Amino acid sequence: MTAAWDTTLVSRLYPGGPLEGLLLERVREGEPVAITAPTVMEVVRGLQASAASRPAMNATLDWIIRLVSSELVEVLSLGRTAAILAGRLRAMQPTPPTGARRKATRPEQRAGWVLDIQIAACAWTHGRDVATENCRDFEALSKLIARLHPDLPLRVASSPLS
Amino acid sequence: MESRRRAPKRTGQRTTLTVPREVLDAAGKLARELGTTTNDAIVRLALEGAAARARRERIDMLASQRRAAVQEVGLGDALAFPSPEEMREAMLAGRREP
Repeated sequence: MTAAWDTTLVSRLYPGGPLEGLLLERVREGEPVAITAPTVMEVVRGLQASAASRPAMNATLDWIIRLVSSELVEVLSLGRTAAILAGRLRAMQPTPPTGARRKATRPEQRAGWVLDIQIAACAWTHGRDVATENCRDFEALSKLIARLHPDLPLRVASSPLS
Repeated sequence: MESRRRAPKRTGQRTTLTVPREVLDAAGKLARELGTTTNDAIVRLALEGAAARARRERIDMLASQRRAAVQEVGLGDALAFPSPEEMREAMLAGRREP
């Protein structure tokens, strides 16, 4: 089954880079890489904010907007089912269960956790696995989903380059 | 004896239609609720459907314009991309506090 790339992977996309090569290969195979809407929001927010103080980032912002607006990737929406699942997951686990984000402040950890919940919910709702470098948090989300839907697990895959 | 139901007088063109059963059933139900004729109920359903379609078309057009506006990006100020590390750092900053 194809996996949706989470933010840790999308952030490694670079023109001419190995992950972009893999992305284009998938387009040629007729099975474009899927990215969730929360990941799009996250990377666009990061680039837009960075571009405010660093104009060179405008080129990357343009590039990523063109990429996600094109048919080179499939963007998985956060629709009603994913929103319901995300709400339930957040209620079950309001804060990140792992200490993996030690660099971040507490509000940032919580914001990151909400984004990861939304990413997992989007991927699951659209019938995808999640490919990530942050396996610990997504494994935790997979366990939470399994509590709600034991027969419909979310599978977590590591980076396709690893 | 039930008095004959009357429909509001309408202007327009008379026509003959073959009405599918499900529409006729819906029209009959509406006619009973409103105390009007089946013909009038069919017209009401058609007006409601036309209004819903017009609304959907307006929403589709607006959504299409908004999608185009979001996707329309200007050329960046920079001639060269930042390094892959800088770009990754910026993308991951999406979950940081300002």
